[in-house]
Amino acid sequence: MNSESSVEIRDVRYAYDDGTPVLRGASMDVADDAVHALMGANGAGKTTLLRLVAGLREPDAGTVRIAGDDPVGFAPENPRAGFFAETVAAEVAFFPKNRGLDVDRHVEEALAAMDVADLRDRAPLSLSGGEQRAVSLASVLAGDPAVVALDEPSSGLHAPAQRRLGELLCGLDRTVLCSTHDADFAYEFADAVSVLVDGEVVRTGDPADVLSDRDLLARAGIRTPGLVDLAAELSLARVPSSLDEAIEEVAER
Amino acid sequence: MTLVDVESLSVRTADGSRLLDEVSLSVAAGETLLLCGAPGAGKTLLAKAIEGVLRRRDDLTVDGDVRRVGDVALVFQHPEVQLVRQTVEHDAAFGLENRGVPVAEIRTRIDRYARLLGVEPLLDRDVHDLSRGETTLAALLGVLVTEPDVVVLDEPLTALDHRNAELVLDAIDRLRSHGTAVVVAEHDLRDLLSRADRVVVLDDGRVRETGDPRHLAATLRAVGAKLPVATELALERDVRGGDVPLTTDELRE
Repeated sequence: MNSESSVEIRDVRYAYDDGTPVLRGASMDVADDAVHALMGANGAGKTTLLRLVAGLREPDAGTVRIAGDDPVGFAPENPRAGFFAETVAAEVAFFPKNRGLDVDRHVEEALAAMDVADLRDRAPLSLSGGEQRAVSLASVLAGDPAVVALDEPSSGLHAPAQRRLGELLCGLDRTVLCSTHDADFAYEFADAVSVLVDGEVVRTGDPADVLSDRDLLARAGIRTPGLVDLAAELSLARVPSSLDEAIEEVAER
Repeated sequence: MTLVDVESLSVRTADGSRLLDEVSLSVAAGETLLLCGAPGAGKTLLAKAIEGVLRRRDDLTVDGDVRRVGDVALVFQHPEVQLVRQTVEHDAAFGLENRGVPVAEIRTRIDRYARLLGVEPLLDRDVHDLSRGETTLAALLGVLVTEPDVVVLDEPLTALDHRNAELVLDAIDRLRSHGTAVVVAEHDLRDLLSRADRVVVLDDGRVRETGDPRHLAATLRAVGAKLPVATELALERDVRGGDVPLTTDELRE
């Protein structure tokens, strides 16, 4: 295993119980402490790949290796699907308790990181969608996993919440593998992007390169990031990395 | 001509929390109206109030008035819940059969509106085998055959990949060309803002502002809506009012 990779996926195949193939030989590496976005159309195999990384499924063939064999934290696309406890505090305590960690400390830190400490006594299922998303992430972080696998964590969030999430993921100091449909989110916050098409990883690389490849994006059913469109439409010399940079580029013209 | 007139609508929960507070708005024939606001601002509730389904909720206290001149139909945020039959065609017939519409007329309407939406290839498909975008189209067909004057779509783009989002956006364009009034509750306006005639900005259950999309762009950003990158860039450069571009083409000009 590459010493700088936290996750190594090689030739992974997986089919549903009825025989329908989902992953058809997927291979990719996720670098240590990177925020790595997994992109592709609905049905391309993103969720299945995340579940394999999280150890919730076993591949039919191929290997998924996690450095150090640490447990992987997993947050499902629909947070409600993962909740089982009566209070937020009990929900968030589950993972650290299972790992034999200092439960109180890890729960407090995770609740504070996601800014949901005031919800500790609420029932998870009574929370709003955005609050449920935050609690779901807190319950993953509380277990202090070196690798977290997040299924569409930015889905349904409005712009400020999405920005907070992106900044949080970048500041986690852990390896983050997250699926997303939002190319703008991946472009701005990911260190690397992998593109899945029909169960195969067809490209892994720097977001600025991968998400500027219009043919690839069209084939994979991914929306072109707004900044990439902007650079093309205005014939900018290069794709700006942020809105601020775009303003500078436009002002220079 | 005004098709829906909402006047001083307030919605409270049993414990007295105000979910909507003195909301007034109207929907005119043929217009495309966006309901925007952060999660929890009241978009879904207002969409349901416009359609009328809210009156049937006995856990909520509803004050104020919603007058409808025409028929209003709603496509839910999770449209799979409104598909009740095996195939798309049989499902589309369900509402009409319940209203005692003659079989020949049902056939004619399904053909007409399947053609309008461009979903003829879906008619024989099992509703459980549809992609998310196709599910929204199937639900939309099911309400269109009843020939409503207003179609309300609740967060139709959430969780859709680019391909499926394009399907739904194309359907919205077809409805607009057909002259149907369309109300869309959504916070991701990257592909919707340029399609809107008017925007209602909701903030914490109240109408903060109503107006045309260019003049409300700054307000939309303030409540966390995702805007087209061209609009964001212009706002950052302090462009305001009628000069705010809604597309990159407009920015270039």
